[in-house]
This record gives sequence, C-alpha cells and structure tokens, in this order.
Amino acid sequence: MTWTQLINEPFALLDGAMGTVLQQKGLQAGGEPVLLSLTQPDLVRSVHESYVEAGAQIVYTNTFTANRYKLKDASKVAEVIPAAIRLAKEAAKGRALVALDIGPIGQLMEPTGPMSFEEAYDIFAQMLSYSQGADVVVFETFTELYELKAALLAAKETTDLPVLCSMTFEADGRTFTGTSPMEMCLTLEGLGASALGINCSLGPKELLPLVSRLCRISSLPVFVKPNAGLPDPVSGEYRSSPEEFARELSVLARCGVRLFGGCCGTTPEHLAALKRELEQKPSDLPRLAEGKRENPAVCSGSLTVEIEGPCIIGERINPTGKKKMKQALLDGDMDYILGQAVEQANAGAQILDVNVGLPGVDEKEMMVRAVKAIQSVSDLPLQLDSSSAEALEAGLRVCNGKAIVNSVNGKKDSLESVLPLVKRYGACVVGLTLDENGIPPKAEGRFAIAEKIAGACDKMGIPRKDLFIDCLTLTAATDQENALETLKALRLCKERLGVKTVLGVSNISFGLPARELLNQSFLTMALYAGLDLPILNPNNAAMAGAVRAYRALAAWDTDSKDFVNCYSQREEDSRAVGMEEHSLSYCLENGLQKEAQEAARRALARTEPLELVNQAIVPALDRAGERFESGAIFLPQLIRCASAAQAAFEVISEAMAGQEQQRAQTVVLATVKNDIHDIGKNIVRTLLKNYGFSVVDLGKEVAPEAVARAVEREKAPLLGLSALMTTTVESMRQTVALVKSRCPQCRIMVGGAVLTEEYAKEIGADFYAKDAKAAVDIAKAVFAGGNTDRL
Amino acid sequence: MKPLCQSQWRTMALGFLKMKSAREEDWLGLFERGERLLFAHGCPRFSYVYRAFPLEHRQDEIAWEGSTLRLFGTAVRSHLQGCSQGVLLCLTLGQGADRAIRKAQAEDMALAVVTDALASAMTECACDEAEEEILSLDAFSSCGATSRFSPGYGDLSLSHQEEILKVLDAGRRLGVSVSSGGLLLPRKTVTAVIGLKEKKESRE
Repeated sequence: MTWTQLINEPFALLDGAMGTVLQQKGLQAGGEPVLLSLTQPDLVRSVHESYVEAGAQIVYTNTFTANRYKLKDASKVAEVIPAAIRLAKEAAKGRALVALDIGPIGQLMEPTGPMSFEEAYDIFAQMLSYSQGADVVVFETFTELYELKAALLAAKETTDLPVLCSMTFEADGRTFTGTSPMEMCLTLEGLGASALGINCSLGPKELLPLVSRLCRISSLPVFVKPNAGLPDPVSGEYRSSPEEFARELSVLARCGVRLFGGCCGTTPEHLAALKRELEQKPSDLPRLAEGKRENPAVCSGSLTVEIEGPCIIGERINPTGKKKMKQALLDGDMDYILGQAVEQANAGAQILDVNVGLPGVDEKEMMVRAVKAIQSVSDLPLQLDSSSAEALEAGLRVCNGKAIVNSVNGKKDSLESVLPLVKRYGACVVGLTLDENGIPPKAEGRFAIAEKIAGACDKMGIPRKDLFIDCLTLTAATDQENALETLKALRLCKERLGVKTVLGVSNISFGLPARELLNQSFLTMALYAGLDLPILNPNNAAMAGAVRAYRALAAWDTDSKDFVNCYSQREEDSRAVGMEEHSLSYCLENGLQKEAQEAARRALARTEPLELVNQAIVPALDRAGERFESGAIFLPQLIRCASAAQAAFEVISEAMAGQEQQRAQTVVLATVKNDIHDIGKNIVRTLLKNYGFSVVDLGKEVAPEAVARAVEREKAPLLGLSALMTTTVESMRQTVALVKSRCPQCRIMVGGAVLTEEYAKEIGADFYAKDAKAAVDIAKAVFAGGNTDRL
Repeated sequence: MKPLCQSQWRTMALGFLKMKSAREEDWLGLFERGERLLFAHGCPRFSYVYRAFPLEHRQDEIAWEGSTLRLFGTAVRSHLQGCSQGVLLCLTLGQGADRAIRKAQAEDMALAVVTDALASAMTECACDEAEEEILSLDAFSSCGATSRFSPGYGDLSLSHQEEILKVLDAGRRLGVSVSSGGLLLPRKTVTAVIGLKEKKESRE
C-alpha cells in the first residue's frame, strides 16, 4: 500500500518503541541505539520484524538520533542511515512502509541555545540526503517549532517524500518552548506537511484533550504515538499493560485520529493489542471534518493571533521618516530596534511590522538579523514589510510561526515574484489595490484589482483566508472624496471577496491641520466599515485609544473589561504623578530618565550645551560612580543614573547640532567562543554607551579571528572580552594573543565571574575588570590617555 | 509540592545582587517588575527528573551502576564517601525564564540585572523543594543524605554534564541540553548528585 492509500483506510498502524525493546534486551540507560544498526543489525531487524508481525503498516527506522551533532561525526551519518533503512525494508518485506525517523538534533535553537536556524537546516538536509529507499519521512518528538520548521523545509527542499510532523507536549498543553497545537498546525500546514501528530510525553489518557484539540483544528491527517502510560519515577519503567494501552488509545480514534502507534514503553504486544481493539469497530471511526478554523490567524512560535475584531499592527520598526530608526539600521544597532519592539508590544500591538529597507543597508541581511532578534524578545507574530522579494524570502525562512507578507499588488511583476514565496512559506499576504496604472480613484476600480489579486492567489493555491486587502488611504486634502472611496472599497472587498482588511490611515490628513484628530476620526470610521488590521503607532494614545474604544463599543471587548482596566489605571496614575519640576542634577542622581530629558531641555534655555555636560552630567555620573564604589547605591541604580545621563545627553547633543559629531571613542566587546552567557557583557555595553562610548558588540561565542578582524576594522583602542565558564578561558587566551599580534595598539580588558586579576595577567590582558563599573573606569582611563597604573 | 516562597527567593536574589544592605526603596520597584515579567513567562513553575542508582566506589572513579555514568574528581569522591546509593537530579525553570531575561534586557538593563538574579534565586529555591520531595519518598526516607553537589564544584568537571543529561534522558523529558562550553541550557538549569547512606545515629 502507498501512503495515499494508507491514509484513506479507516485506521492505520504505526509501530512501537525501538529503545524500549532494545533496553529489554540489555541496552544500558544512556547507550546509543542508532549505532546498533551497524554493530548488531540482526537485533535491529528482529525488532522491526516483531512490529510488522504485530500489525505495523509503517515502521520507523532506527535513526532517531542519527544526526552529526549527536553522532559527533558526519561520516557516521552516511553509514547509519542507509543501513537502518535497509534493515527496515528487509524486515518489512513489502508488508509495511518505511519511515525515515528523525528526532530533534539535541541542541537548543537560538536564541536560547547556540544552534542557528541555518545550521539546523544543514544538519537535517544532510540526514535527508540519505533518504533513498524510505517511503515517507517522519519528524517526531520535537518540542521546538523553529527546529521543526528547519527540518520540514529541509525535507521539502531535499526530497519528494510525504513528511509527517509530530511534536511532544507537556501536560499543560504546550511544548517546553510554549508552542501549542494551534501554532504547530498553522505553521506546518502552510509549509507542506502531509500529516500532523503528537507523540511521547504522556500516555493515551493524558493526551486525550491535546489530541482532540489537534483534530478539531487540523486539516491534515492526524497521527499519535503515546507512551505506555507514565514512567515510574524511581525505576523509570513504563507501567501501562498492552490491554490498558490499547483500550485508552482506541478512545482517541473517536476524535478523528487516523494513524496509531506507541512511543516509550510500548512493545509489539502493545501494538497487537491495539490492532485487536481498533479492528472491533472500524466503521465507528470518524473522518476529520473539512475546512475547520474559520478565522484567519497568524502566529509566532508561542502565540496565535486570530483575526477576529480589530488587531493592531505596530508600525514603528520602519525607517521612513524616523531619524533614530534610520541611524540604528545604519549602525546595526539591534538594541534600538528591540526597544521599539518591546515598547510597541507593551503598548498593545498584536502584530509587529518589520521594515528594514534603507539605502546603505543590506536589506536581505538586515531582515534576517532583525527577525531573529525581534522574535527573541517578543512573541508577537510578524509582518515582513519589503519591496524586495529577496529580503522577503530571507525573512520568511527564519521567521518562527506564520507571518504576513507586506505586500503584493496588482502589477504582474509583483504577483509573479511575491505570491510564490507566500505559497512556499505558508504565509498570509497583504494585497495592495494598485497596479501598473496606479491607484484607482474609485472604489470599484480598487475592488477590481483586489479581485484580480484574489484570483491569482486562488490559482497559486493560497487559501482565501490568508489574503488581506489594503485599499490604500489617499489624502483628503487633494480630493475630499478620498476618505469615503477607501471605505467603500474596503466594504466591497470584505463582503464580496470574504477577505480581512488592512489599512494605514495617516495619509488621510496630509496637508490639513489637526492631523491627529483627522487620523483618529478616519480610523474610527474605517473600523466601523470593517477594518480588521489597522497599522498604527500603538504608543500614540489617540490612535490606540480609538481602537480600544471601538472594541468596547462594538462588543469585541467583552464587558469592556480591557477598556476599563486600561483607562481606570491611567486616571489613577495621572492623578498620582505630581507635576514637579526637578533640577537636572536631581533627575540624574535619581535615575529619572524622562524627567532628565525635560530638565535638560529647560536648562538649555539658559546654559550652553557643553557647559551643561561638564557642569551637570559628568559630575552626576562621577558621583553615582563613587556612591556605587562605596556601597551607598547598587548596580541597578548605577544603571539607572547612567541611562538618565544618556537620555539627557541625547537632548543636549541635538542642541549641539552645528558642531562636528565626532566618532566617539570605540570599544569592541565580545563573549568568547563556546561561551554563550551574555548578560554580563550586555550590562557593560549599556553602561559604556550611557557614559558616551561607542560600542561595537560582536555578540556571543565569537571566534578569535572574528574578534581580531573587528578590532582591525574599527581601529578600536580598547577591546573587552567576557567569559563565564572555566572551559572557555583558553579561548580568551587565544583571542588575546591573536589580537595583540595583529593590533598591538589595542588594549584589552577582560572580565567575567571565573576570572581573577592574576589570571588576566597570565593570559596577557592589560586590565581586569571586576565589574561593569570597573570596565567603564578602564575605558575612561584608556581614552583619556591617562594613568592606567591604578587600575 | 509546596509552592516556592517569595520572601525566600527575594532574600537570595538580594544576595546575588550584593544588595543585602539595600533598603526596599533602593529596589526601585524592580523586584515587582522582574517578578511580573517572570510570572508572565511561567516562572516559578519548574520541572525536574531524577533517578537513583547504586554506587560503586572504584579507585579512580565512582560508577553509577546500571548506567554509563562515571564521576571523576577528588571532591565528589570525598562528598559521596560511604554512600551506597546516589540520586542524580536535573531541574530547570524552563525557557520562559530565558525569554523573560532577554525581554528585560531590551526594555531596561537595570530590570534585566534584577530579573536574572530573581530567576537564579527561584532555581535554587526550587532545588531545595525538589530535594525535600525526593528524600521524603519511601524509598529514601530512611537513608542519610548528603547535601547537593554539582559539576563545577571543586574538581568535578563540567564535562560530566553531557553524560548526566543522557542518563536522565533530560533532553527529552525536560528540554534541557548542554553547550559545547559546558553551559546548561536553558540557563536556569541545575544538575546535582545527592549521596545516600544507611541512616546513622548522628546525621552528617
């Protein structure tokens, strides 16, 4: 039977555990089963045979950990996988299909762990290149959706085989990384999986709620392989008997599960019992209903946003008209971008638009960096905003979850270059109602383009609910009809095409006074006309407020709960905050960032900028430093003071705009190779920046060569290296030696919990920084050319 | 299992931050904010796995019978002296803590410093809870127990981490792994050994 035939049967049987049976035959805890395909092939073959005889229609090859990371040797992969496939085929003798079984690599993905998306992809692609002879590929026991995405993409790009994807969940319904069946489903369906499953973690009884949920939302066949109950905590043994297991698992058949097997603790007896149980009433087994999940939805790895009622898309990560964002992109300053992401999330954005296109910036490379960085601190779904298909594709590959592509339009070029990407990566797409002739002035014209885009999506196989239409806002000042035409177009698209709608409103008020008032009003009108996804700045109280008010009045916000929570708190806050005016020195000393900016602005009215820096900011920082040294204040307060100083300094330097903005003193920072601890380095980076130094942060796990190159490139007079682990001090020594030989003028400071003054000297460093403040003192002395003997 | 105690983890966090002499005003509301951030990411929920093995004290190593684990080093040999059994433990606060700390770094570095200390403190308190729960089981309640001892203490090398995780199957059961430098991931993860001996009149 082929895969296609198998999934049309009332039910099909997978196999049971390999590891359990091997352990029964003497394999020790911690031993490596996949090598047995080479050293004890008869044993492995016999396990497969006993499952086929018990009724298995698909056997999983003994390759769960056969990746080059676990095997520590790429050439072993080339031996183990073909051998395992051969053994399975020999055992099956055509009675069962052979599934190339691939488990997680065994290393955590970035940003928590050291494995990059690209490296994971590569490792899986290598395994899949040996898939000849297998009938299907199965990825199982994954807990990290990002890793499973890399695996699935590798499979789709390396083989033509059907790909089964199974994840393992905890009792709370999520994986270790926070993924629920919904994110799994949304993401993997779009990427072309052939079946979705749940395995391991729990027994059949405990899996029932999860499996039932998956069956309700999946449009692909569902497969399950539970454990034989829960393990005994002391002995580690699984306790469910074959009959118990079979009985409990057959209950899941009523949810619509199509393929059944067993994971840890199961044996051929369990499978035989399961077969007997399922054969009793095959006609009772339901099919999965077609086309579930009415609402369009997008997701990150851990959060799904269903587009039901207005959802705010935050627009701030976009250089257009934003000086600070432009500068941040040119400097590669992720801190600023991440700050904007978190700020928008805190202000109520539900999706984040990411646009990093700017002359002078490699958009493709920056898109990848930005997406990875943003999804490391925010779990909001992303909207990738670019006119470059190349940048879009690069972003779509590394984005975790189901993203939105902004945008495609009615031009032939656009449809042909963007829609294939949308299809391949399973994204949603925003369609703009413009084409080669520009933007139609009338609603019917825009509707016609929308219809054309919808038709193109249909042809491409992109589900209608993944298409969002943006009818474009034109300026009311040039033609007063513009506002109503956009809204009319919006209504037409919604009613006749069944699509959700997107809109940015601020163009409406261009050229008129009281822009915010117009924007807010137009937004409210649009929401009433059916706008689903407004693109706006959630930090803008008027705009975000309009959405909240609409949600409350249109009953999206049940009992106006969110509205009340949001605004009664604010009223309290504004009553509580006094409108005192403090001196700049007071604000700096007390770490009051916003107040320091205000105070700086007021002070500039009567004092020269440079004088202010020397009379107020520098002394305040010095005093804070002294108080930290003496234990009167602590690290959090020092950081706060320095942040306030930085904020004040920014205001003052704008006032010094005629004067030459010197390239400030540059410090290169890095955490050495094999060490991925970085909060210590990040604290040093923040303090150095706040004290006015320019910092080039190379990140974590940086190889000696990369550090040397960066120091050369930046002509940096000072390098800071941090290491947490005793195991990585050797990397530090190598790095110091390399940098000293290539850039003798560069001074090197080292820090980190494991280091001491003596050790720092021993590895050739110039300075030892016992804490972040000491790092700042060293930097000050180095750049002042002053006496560094004391340090 | 008892829920973790907030005052305990706060006290410990203050120690990590070298802020024991700080007054509550000095905390700048950061402890509340840090806790809120951690709570929003699942903390202080924790999970752990453990197994018990008979120990064989050989000349240069301690073998954990029935597994592939061998411990090398004078410090651990001295710690486990006289113990006929050992409990191997791995506990983690999970990836939520890592995410919360990264988020804090993007928002406010002062908050990040405090959040990191709070998470470390929660991990320590969780280990105390887990240890208490394990040792109160029937299988162990009549034994004398040593304190926890982890790779990185004395000369017990970090290179043992990989083997410990393998033996406990902690990768699959807890989602924990170890980096090439010996760092456990997610960051707020601990492995430890506890020695068990026949109960004597005087506790160690």
